[in-house]
Amino acid sequence: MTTSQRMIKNLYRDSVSLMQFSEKLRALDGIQQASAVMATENNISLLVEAGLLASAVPPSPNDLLIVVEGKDEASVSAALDQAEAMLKAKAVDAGEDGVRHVPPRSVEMGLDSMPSANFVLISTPGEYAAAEARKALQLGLHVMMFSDNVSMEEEIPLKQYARDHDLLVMGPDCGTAIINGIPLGFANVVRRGDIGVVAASGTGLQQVTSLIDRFGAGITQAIGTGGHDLKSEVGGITMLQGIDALAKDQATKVILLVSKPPSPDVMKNVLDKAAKSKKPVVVEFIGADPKTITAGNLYGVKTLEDAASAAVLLSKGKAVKKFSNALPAKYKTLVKSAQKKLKKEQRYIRGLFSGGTFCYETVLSLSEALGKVYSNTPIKKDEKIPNVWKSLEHTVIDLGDDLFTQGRPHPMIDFRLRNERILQEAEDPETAVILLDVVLGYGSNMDPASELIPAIQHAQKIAAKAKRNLVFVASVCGTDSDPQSLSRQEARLREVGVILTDSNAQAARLAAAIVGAR
Amino acid sequence: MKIRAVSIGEAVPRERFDAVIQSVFDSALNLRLADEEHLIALVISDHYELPQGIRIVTKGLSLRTLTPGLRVATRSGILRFDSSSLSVDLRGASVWKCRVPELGLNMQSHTAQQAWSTTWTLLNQEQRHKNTELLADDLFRPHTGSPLSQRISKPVTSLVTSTDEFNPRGALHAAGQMIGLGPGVTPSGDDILIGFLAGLWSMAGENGHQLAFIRSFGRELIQLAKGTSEISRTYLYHAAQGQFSSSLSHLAEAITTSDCVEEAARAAMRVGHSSGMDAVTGLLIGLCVWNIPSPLYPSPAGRGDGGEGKDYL
Repeated sequence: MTTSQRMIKNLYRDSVSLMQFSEKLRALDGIQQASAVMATENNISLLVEAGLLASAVPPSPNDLLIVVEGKDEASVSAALDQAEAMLKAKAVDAGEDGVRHVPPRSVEMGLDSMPSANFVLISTPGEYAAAEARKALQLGLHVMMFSDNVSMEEEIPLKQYARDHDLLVMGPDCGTAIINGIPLGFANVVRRGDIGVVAASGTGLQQVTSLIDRFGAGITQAIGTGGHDLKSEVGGITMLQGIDALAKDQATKVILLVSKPPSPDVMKNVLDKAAKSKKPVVVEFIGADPKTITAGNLYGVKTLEDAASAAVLLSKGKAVKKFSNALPAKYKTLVKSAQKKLKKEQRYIRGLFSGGTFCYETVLSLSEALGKVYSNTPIKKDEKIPNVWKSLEHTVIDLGDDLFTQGRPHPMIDFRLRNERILQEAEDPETAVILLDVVLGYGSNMDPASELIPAIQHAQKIAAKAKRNLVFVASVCGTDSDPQSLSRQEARLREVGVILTDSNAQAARLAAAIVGAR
Repeated sequence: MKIRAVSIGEAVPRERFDAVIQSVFDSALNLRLADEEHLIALVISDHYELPQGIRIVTKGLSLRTLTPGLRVATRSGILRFDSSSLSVDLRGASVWKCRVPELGLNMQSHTAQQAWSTTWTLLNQEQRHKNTELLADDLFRPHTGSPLSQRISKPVTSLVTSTDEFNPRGALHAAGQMIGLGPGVTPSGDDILIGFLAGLWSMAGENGHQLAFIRSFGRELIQLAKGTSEISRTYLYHAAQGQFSSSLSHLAEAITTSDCVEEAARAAMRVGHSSGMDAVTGLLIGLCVWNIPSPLYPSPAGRGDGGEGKDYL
């Protein structure tokens, strides 16, 4: 007689199964005794006493111990192999899920296939978005509402519900976010780091995160709030929650806030909350006077580029310098050579933007440098462009405005409208500089340079035909890790004569310098 | 397929939790919570409640379609399984709590002793009928019965004596010899201990001395339970808190009130192959301590020699 044993890891069978299993083993040729028990110390001891185990084996209470006694080693070994095969075969049977799998068509179905998910991105037409968001919140999920056309009447209760249940609603009309390193919506691939961003502006968020990456630092989280969040009616619910979350987040060393200036009451609450965070907070309320913000741990800045620079300095433990409005020296020769190409009547800048915040920042910058700037998103009411389809003097247009996007994709994706407008501006003898933004990242056009270059070359031909030159100035928002590659896009645009700057703010200053004192 | 849970045990988290499937049986599965040491169970049954259980009633569903290691999460009251369209809606399920600690069962009463005797008789009949490895009668007949009976007999007797004398060290020593002993995923030794605790909790009522002993014994027993399977350890953990399955709880109530004893006993014995009978064995033995005369030991002189118990029976 010989005995042998085998341990099967983490295997659970009820008593009846094990009893039947033992009986099957006993019925095998050459087998006298068989036992299958949980490998507890007391069971092992009992098996030793019963003579089924020659000596005690180490206990392992969650494992199944099979012990077999047979006439010879071959029988015992074969029985143990068969035992293991029987148990494993059972496991395979159990693995066959008889339930038919279908692609998820609702938040609930999505949760069925990924039960540990805690976040949902909603990108339905606006009329359905609030209902979907409500369902998601009731399922305990954080929400990013990419959808626009959701009213504030719908937005407010959603955000209040979320706040009361310790959940976050990003949006509506939240075009971008980076959560735990994952770019969502229109977002850039940036390195991870210790700067957390809360932004009520999509391209503002993209610009600061991309520049932070370019300056050698990185992002913990970039939370989008949606454009209405800082209005008095909404009360900045998401921005306040975002500040709280980043204040608690141990990985976040510096907080960066980006928005157009909030309503005064909301601004006070946001700045109070930021001041209490006990972390350095850089605040770029685009258009607000930084001096009214800077105090204690709060650092007010004037441009998105300054915001990124300040955050990076703070994250590296350095003091925040006073930022200059002046055009960096490296561009001065470019200004002179561009000015030489222009005729006297070429006096105006025509800004054609796909990013709303880039447009707004440019309007502010050009207004400061040049005075009146017409736009569909003007600073002053009397500078609202009378006809958005026709430029007037210095004109800066946000082509992402609803007026232009109805029935067609966003200009970050579809360049047709902007390209047509470039050609239109080229026909105008007063056009001196065509100022552009190019936004890279997920969601954007996969090769914007290839989209723009034919239009730029065509525009240059139109101007040349009229014995003029056109100056193209642009900034590319993105990183080398983006699918489109920042350096590749920049190289191609430079090849066709586009003057590129490191940021949107610099592009505006450069354009202003070209058409300024001549 | 979404199924509504009928009831959930008090120990089951109500809000969000993450877990993986630890083990699967035909009509039950165990979930290992991400941040907890103990398991919770999903049980298909029209009546069987567990302190750690989520009870569903559905026909034709085999939980064998799910596999150990599969991720599970509950969000806002819906329990979902990774890669499966099965989900369980916990919202609206009633919360079940075991009332054994509130019973204050008086084993001095004639009716309770009669109920005990009826159950003991039924138990031994059923064990003989099913030819189980353990026979309750054998536990008090040294050197009789299966190797398992013989092996467990001495610690059971010692457990009773030590508990009767409020000797926690002796009780724990005996329990240590029973933990993890016997066949099945909840070994017989563990089932007897669970039943034994049910007996003690049933009787203690507001008796501070007895409650102090049970709590102290329970705390130490949880430590000893590291020597047995994870599933068994979970039952022992809840038993130490005075929380038991509904079948064991109903039997304790039936003995307390002498109402529907046979029905309750048969229901309790039907659990598992031998687990139910082992737990009932433990319950009846537990009800014998701290009572003079006790059903097993009619006179104090009889203690320490279980052989005299059969005279009473």
